[in-house]
Amino acid sequence: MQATIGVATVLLGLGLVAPAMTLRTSFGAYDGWVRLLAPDLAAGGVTTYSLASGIWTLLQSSFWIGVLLVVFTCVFPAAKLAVMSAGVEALRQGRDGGWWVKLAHHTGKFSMLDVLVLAMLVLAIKGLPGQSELLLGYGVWLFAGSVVLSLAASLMMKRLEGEG
Amino acid sequence: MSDSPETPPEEPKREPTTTSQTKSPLTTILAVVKTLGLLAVAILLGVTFIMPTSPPNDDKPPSDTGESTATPTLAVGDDYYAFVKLIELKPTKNGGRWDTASDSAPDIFFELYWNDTKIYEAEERDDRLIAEWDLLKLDVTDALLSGEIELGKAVNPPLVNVTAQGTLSIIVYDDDATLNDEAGRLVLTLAELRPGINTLVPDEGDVSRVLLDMVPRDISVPELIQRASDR
Repeated sequence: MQATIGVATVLLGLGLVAPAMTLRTSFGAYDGWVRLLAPDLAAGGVTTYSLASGIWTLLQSSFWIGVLLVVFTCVFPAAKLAVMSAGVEALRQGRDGGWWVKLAHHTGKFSMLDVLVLAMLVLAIKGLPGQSELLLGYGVWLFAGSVVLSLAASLMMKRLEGEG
Repeated sequence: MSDSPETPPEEPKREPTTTSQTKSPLTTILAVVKTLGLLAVAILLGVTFIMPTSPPNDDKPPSDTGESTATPTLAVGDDYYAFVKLIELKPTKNGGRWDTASDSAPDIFFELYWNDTKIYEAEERDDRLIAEWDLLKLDVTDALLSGEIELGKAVNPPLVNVTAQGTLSIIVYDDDATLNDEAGRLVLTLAELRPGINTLVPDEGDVSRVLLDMVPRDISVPELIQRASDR
């Protein structure tokens, strides 16, 4: 179980900094004209963000939304994994998991929130005129993998608690 | 006679050891630290090897719109459009009226001389003390007749090549029906001018100021349009 938590931790760390989304701006049929007459507007046609750099950009423009994403993307998943690790250690020693385990269960509920945010972003960008698109990178899959593994670890911990 | 069997001596009571109890908070804290440490290492490795480069910054410096750049002077050997953007005359001519017949303002135009050779004469701007000219001008008649628009023809000001001793003279006139009055003149050393807008204030004459924009010949079309639209 500690191995599962370890792998989830590594996936979380990598998932936060790996390429998560690529924004490709387009102005539809007028793309060429815009690039000719307003190159500043069309500059940076293809931009790749990681979750961390995307959150940093948000912090600079929409501070409170950025803070929200920091809490649910970085703080909660990291806290959950750390707390689960402590709970597993306590159970392994034959003791009651106590408030470690309770905390692990509660923090786990918020872990999928930012994957939902990314899905909403893709939908919103798709709706913009000019065929701009948002493509998800492997960073999202690493992050989602971390979340899934931490959910699995949570289930295993429940079973361990029951056996204890 | 037999004695009762001796009861074995009682083993001294041993207090239950607290080693595991004192050890457990430490091991759980250690588990937390190990997990967070592993997370930090993973982030560090990710930043080093797989993190994408920073997205472009929104506050990058704008393209050159006419303000003087870091280059102190014009590059010798390069070509520039000598664009007189604005001329302002003093309210009075030698203390008197510009137009002796009426109270109207002067009719301003200017000539450009490159190394004492006349290369350009501007269109007149009537009845004003501040006159402006445009960087781009489209001759619609010519375009309609020829059926094509040539960008080089649309650029209004003349080209000059910068040499160390080359001069650019601007002679400003007030157009009169009989004789054009010279309002003022400036003789400039090209190599001393700066790219972008040069604000020139003559020492003598009735010219208050001249805005001279030295535009590189190899400017891109979007920048040229941007420059033309920056009034």
